Amino acid sequence: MIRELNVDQQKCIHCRQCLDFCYTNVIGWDETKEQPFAQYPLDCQLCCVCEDACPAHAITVIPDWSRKYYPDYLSAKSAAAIREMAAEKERRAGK
Amino acid sequence: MSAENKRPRKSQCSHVLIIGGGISGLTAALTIKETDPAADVLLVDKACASKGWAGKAARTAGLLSFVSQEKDPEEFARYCAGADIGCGLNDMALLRDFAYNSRRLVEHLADWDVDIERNEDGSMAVGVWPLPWVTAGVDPDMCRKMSSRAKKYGVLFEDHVVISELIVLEGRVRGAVGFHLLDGTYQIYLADVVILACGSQNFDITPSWCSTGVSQKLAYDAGCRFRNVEFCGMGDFGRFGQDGQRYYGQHSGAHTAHDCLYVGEENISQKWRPGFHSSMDPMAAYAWYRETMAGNGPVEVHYQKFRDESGALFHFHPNAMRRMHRVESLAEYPYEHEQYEVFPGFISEMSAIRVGHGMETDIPGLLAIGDTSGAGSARAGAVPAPPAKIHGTGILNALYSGDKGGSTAVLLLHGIKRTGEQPPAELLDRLEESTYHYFDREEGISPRDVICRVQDAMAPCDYSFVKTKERMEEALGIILEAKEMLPRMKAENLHELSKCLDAQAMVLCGEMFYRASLARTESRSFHLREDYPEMDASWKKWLNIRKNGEEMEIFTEEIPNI
Repeated sequence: MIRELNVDQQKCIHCRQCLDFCYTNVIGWDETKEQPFAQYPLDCQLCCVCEDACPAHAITVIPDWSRKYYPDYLSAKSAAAIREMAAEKERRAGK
Repeated sequence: MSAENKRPRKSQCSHVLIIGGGISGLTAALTIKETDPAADVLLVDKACASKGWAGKAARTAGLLSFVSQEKDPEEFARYCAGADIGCGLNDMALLRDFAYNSRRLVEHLADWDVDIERNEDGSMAVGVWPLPWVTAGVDPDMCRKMSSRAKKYGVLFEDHVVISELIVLEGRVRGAVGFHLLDGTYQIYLADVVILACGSQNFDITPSWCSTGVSQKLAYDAGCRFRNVEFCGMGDFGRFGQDGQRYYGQHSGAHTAHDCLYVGEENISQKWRPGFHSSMDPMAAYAWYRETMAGNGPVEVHYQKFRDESGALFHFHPNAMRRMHRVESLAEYPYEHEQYEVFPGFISEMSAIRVGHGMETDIPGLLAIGDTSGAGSARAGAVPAPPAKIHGTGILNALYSGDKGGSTAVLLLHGIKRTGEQPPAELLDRLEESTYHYFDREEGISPRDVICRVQDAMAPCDYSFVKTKERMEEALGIILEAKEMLPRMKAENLHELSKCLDAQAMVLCGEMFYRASLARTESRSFHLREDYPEMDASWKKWLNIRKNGEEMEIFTEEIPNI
C-alpha cells in the first residue's frame, strides 16, 4: 500500500542492503537505474524499517492508503441496519 | 515436468531445522548451541534472518513484560488464570513455569548483547503496572544482535526461503521443502528435529500484523492437534482520518485507547467494561458495537485522557520511539486533535498448534514455538495469546517457548535413533509438484482474490468479536466460498506463489476459527457470544481440532488437575 519508494539518487550508494530489510518482500532492484524500487507495493506494511536502516538514508516511503483492500468492519446486514436507522432519524428530523 | 526441464534443486541436512528467524526461532537456535555446541542447526526464513531482519519484532513497539523481583509469580499466574483472561482454561503448570522463569529469560538477553532501556544506575527502566508485572522497553532490532550471536555459535542460515510442506515419513517429521523466493530453486531440508517458529495467523488486515498462518497450515497438514482456536480473535481500534480514511494499528493512534471510548461525554468503556484493563478484549469491541447498533454513534477516543492515565506504564526504547513517530507521521496522526472517531480493527493472533510442556506437537520430530503455539500451549488460557491482554508478553512468550523448544530439541537429538533413511524420490517429486503447481495453469484467479474474500469473513466485528450462530454461519459460508476458489488460483511469479500458500493457510484458519466458535456454546474471555452470553461451568474444557481425512474433526477434552 505504498505508491512508491522515493530513492534519492544523490545519496544511494547502491549497496543493495535494502533488499534484505523488508520482511514482506516488497523491495526489488532496478538493474537499469541501479537502485531499489517497490516491486510488490501492495504488501508494504508501512513499518518504515527500510527508511530507518538504509545506511545512506536514501529511501523515503510514499504511502498510498487507498491501495490496500480494507474489508468492512461490520457485516452487510448490520451496516444496512445502521444506515436505515440514520435515514429514519433524518426523516423524523425533516418532519 | 520432464527430467531435462527440472528446476534447480538444493538439498541440505542438519540435526535441527528451524523454520522462522524471529525472536522465538533465534532463541531456540541460541539455546541449542549453548546446550550442545556440536548440534548442527539450520535456520530458514522467508525474509533475511541471517542479518536479523526477520520476524515481527523490528516492526513493534519493543515492549517486554515480565515478573520482576518485586512482583509475585504466583499472583501473576492467578491473574492470568482469572476471569479477565484465562478463565480456567490455562495449563497451570506451564503458566507458573512461565511466571517463575520470565525474569531469568529477560536478564539473559544481556548475554546476547540485546539492549534494554536502563536507568542511570544500570537497573532496567520499567513501567510498573498496578498489576503483577512490569514492562521494559527493548530494542526492536534485537534480532540483529541475536542472529549475530547465533552465527558466532555456528548456526547456519538460509534467507529468502518459503517453506511449503513438511516431510513426514512413517508418522515422523523428517524435514521440509520449499522454494527460494528470489530464484525459484526447489529447497529440500532433511533434519532429525524440525521447529516451527514462523508466526501466527493475522489474516493481513491490520498493517504490521501481517503473519499469514503458514505455520498453522504446515502443522494441520502433518496431523497436529489444535487447541483454543475459538479464542483467537483479537483486535484493536482503528481511527477515521479527517477525510474518512481508515487508519489501523500503529498508524491509528487508537490501538491502546480501549479504556477511553466515548459517546459524547459518556465513557462507554467504563459503562460496558468497568475498571482498569491492561489491554483490549472483546468487551471493548462490544461496547463500540452496542452503542453503534443502538444508533448512538459516533464512538470517539479521548486520547489525551488515555495518555494522562496510562503514559507512565510504558518506557519505549529510542529505536522504537523513532520508528513509531515516523509511522504516525505517515498517517497524519492528529496530535492536535484530542478526539477522533474509531472503529474495531481485527488482528486475530491465531497461534493454536497444540504443544506440551516442551513445545512438542503430537507429531514426533516436530516442535512449535513463539507465535505458532501461544494459544495452543494453553499457557494463557481462553485468549489469543500472545500477547492477548498483557502488552509485552508476546516477546516474553517468544523467549520462553524458544528456550523450552531449544532444550527439548537437544533432548530429542540425544534420544532418537538415527536411521539415515532418505525420503523416497517419489515423495520429494510429489511435494515439488504440490509446491509449484500454481504456475502450471493457463488461466486462473489471483491468490489476492481469495485472501480478500477470507478477510471479508474475518474483519467484521459482529462476525469475529461479537458472535452469534446465525452470523458465524454466514461468515463460515464466505470462508467456504473462498475455499472453493483455491483450486483456481494461478501464480504469475514467485511472490504470488508464496501468496497462494498464504491464501490456503488463511482459508484453513478461518474455517477452524468459525467451526470451533460454533461448537463452544457459551461466552468465555475472548469468545463472546450474544446468543450464549454467560460462562457455562460445563464448558470448562478444551476444544481440540485436527485433520481427519478431508474432514475437520472437533472434540472436547477435560482439563487435567495438575
